[in-house]
Amino acid sequence: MKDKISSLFDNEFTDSELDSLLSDVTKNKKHQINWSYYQITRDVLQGNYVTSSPMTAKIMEAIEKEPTQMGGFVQNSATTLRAEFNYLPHLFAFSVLILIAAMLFNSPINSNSVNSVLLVQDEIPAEMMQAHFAHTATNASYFVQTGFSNIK
Amino acid sequence: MCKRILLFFLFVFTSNTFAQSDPWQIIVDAHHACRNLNYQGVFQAEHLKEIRSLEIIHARHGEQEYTRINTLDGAPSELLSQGDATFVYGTNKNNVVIEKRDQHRLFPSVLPKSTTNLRKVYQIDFGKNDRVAGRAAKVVILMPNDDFRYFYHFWLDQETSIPLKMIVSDHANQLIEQTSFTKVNVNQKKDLSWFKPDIDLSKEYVMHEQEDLSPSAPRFWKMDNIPNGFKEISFRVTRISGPNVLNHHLIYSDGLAYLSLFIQPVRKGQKPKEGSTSMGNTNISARYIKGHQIMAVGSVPKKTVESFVNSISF
Repeated sequence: MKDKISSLFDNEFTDSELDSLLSDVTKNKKHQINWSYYQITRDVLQGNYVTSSPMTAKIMEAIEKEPTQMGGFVQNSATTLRAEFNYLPHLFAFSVLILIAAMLFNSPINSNSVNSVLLVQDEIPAEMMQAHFAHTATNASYFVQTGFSNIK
Repeated sequence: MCKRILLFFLFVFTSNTFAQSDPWQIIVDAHHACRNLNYQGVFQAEHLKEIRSLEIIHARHGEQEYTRINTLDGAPSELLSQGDATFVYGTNKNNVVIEKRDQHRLFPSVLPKSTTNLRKVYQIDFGKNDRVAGRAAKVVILMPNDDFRYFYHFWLDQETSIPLKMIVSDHANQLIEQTSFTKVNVNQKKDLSWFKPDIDLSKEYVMHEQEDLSPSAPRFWKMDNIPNGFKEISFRVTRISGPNVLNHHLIYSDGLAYLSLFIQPVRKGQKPKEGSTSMGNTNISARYIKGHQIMAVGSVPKKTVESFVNSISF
């Protein structure tokens, strides 16, 4: 299953294989964890924040739709956590881990807190200007050469 | 019977008079003239404060429209267009780069087929007759109803309605853009031997292609209260190969003015940009929203690009 999820991120799946995988992932908590793990790994390895793909959205939607198991089993008092369990040290450790992870990844995901800089003429992305002129120009700007910069 | 014939002629006469009295018909005539007539010439156009000369040959052959435009100044580039297929050939130090593009909007084919949208956002007026490239021209001015777009002045050939000159000016009557034929010939030549690229055969050919991923790309944003008259005319999604992020490119137009809206995830280590600036006659406005860089680019007033980046929400 790990291999399958890994392949999914490399876009090596067909639609029918994706449906089958979706079914497996949504039924198994462990697979859901693997799913999240691979998602983070991919983003970190690529060093980017990438827009959620339709595949990601489809899988997350399927997970959402999967009914939550609220009952159907008898609680065993021997394995039930006691009320006096001290959760504060665990919560603190978890918070520290989250903080470290956020610092390591330095990701701007869904955040407006990243410091922005004022747009200046010298920093206008050339690819954007070229793409704009290539599709809209009525004059010589049309011949600004898209893609030439990366071809020696 | 005589009464019916009289009524028929009366109907034809009034319809014809009405059509001729519609001042906007001249815009439609100019559109069709550019598409259907055979002509060739040289025109000068301004690009980032520099004047460039371009040569155009246009022909209608059967159902197909053929155009070749090549730059006469600077690095050699040329466009070959047959119907909806457009290829641009550019030359750099070692290669000839061939790029497939959508249908072009180059001068003189700048006027839309339909005036329905133009009528909502511009008023039409006529100036004094003039002369351009040795040909008699009538001056048509399209004046905007608001300050989200510029004034467009056209010198249309009196004989054929082909635009011979175009000036774009702002509300302070400052020149934004100017394109004008220096010579032009309208002819009936059927020969298509000119329809081939004039490129350096000693150089290696490179195809520059970008796959459009828009059919499968979700639209995760919404646009509210964009300036009146602007409509989305194109949507492309391409993958930027280096950082492997998706670039969403939307194009809006009111029929004369064009504006690009880019939506791109901010990459690691990159500082998002905010604010507005200009490059030549092109205004650019940037905004950062929830991990995405939004940028509007267009030969439109600063107010218009700013309005577009502020219209988007996630």
